[in-house]
Amino acid sequence: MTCEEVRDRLDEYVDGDLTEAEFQEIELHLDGCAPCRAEERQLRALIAQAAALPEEIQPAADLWPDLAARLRGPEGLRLVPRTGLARWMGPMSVAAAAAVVVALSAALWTRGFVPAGAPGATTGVARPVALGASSELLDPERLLDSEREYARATADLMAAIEAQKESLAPETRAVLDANLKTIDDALAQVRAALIKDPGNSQLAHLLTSTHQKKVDALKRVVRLNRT
Amino acid sequence: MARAQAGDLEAFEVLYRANLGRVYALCYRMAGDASLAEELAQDVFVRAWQRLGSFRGESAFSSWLHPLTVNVALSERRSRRRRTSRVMSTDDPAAFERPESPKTGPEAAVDIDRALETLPPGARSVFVLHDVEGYKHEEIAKMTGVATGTSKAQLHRARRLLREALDR
Repeated sequence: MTCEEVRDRLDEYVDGDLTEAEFQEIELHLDGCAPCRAEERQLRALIAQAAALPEEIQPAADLWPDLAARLRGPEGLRLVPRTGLARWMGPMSVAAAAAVVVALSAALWTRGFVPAGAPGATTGVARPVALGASSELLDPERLLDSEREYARATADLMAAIEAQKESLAPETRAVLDANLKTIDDALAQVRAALIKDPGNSQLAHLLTSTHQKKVDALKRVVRLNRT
Repeated sequence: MARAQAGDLEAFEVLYRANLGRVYALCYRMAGDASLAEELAQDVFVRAWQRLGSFRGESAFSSWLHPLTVNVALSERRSRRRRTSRVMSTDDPAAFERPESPKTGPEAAVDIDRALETLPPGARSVFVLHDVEGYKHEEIAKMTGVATGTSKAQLHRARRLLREALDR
């Protein structure tokens, strides 16, 4: 075996990944070749150094404040798919929460918001990804993506409303603020319920549909004010 | 643990503080960059929080957290590679093999963690997983989605580059 061939196989030699015959062949070469033996020792020293690296390193900055803020937001949702009935929120409670959202929608409608299909300029806000099957809703990544999309859409619409606030009647603004607070409270309740019962597909549906209702309501305000 | 699983953020902070050092060390070595490692460590704990319900206590929390950390670090590398491939058109694999310039002065020669920063990402990940964390090539191949032979080649390259960096 040449020195080059031996050095190409030194990693496998020190890692014990060679057959007995290959191992013996390299051993024989190393016994008679000082430069290759030195190479082997250097390699073993590096591996020993790597294995002895400290298990812990502390970051320069305290990460907790930012992390805690993320956990209090949409990313803090716990969505571990599971089977079985809801532990925390029974079907009756889900129905009650759903009724709150339906009532909210009705309240928004009767307080003078124009229907979603009314003529007027589009808002330019991208519609968040709609989630269909319950299996999709229970995919944590998809649901979190959806929450983020809704948050983005809501922020865009709020910015559009802020830009129009000169032309928005004070009473309309007051009604809007009151309704947004009710929807936000409902969202917080559904989110809290989901944290306690991550596998509940009804709650996941309720969360996205409540978000959608908020987005729809904001769109109506923007359209109403533009027409 | 039960309190953290029930949604108590203060209880989770205790778990976070007890495990941050190990999580950050692995992220830092895999990423080769301190500020990216801070982002990755945060991502690890966000995922841990989201999945805490699946922790059954059959192993230590730190053992449960370890593969999660590896996955987060590898996912970041995969997405970075996708972003990089969109803006780099070279077909010369050697261009990706060349180590970056050492980021610090003479101490890089004696500091293996600093030397790790100079490795190309693929070689660095395999070195950290194999020589620091003790995974086998077959396990690394499965985790990273490469062939076992590629993992061995990356390890060989990493060790060679590291010895060169440490000799400087």
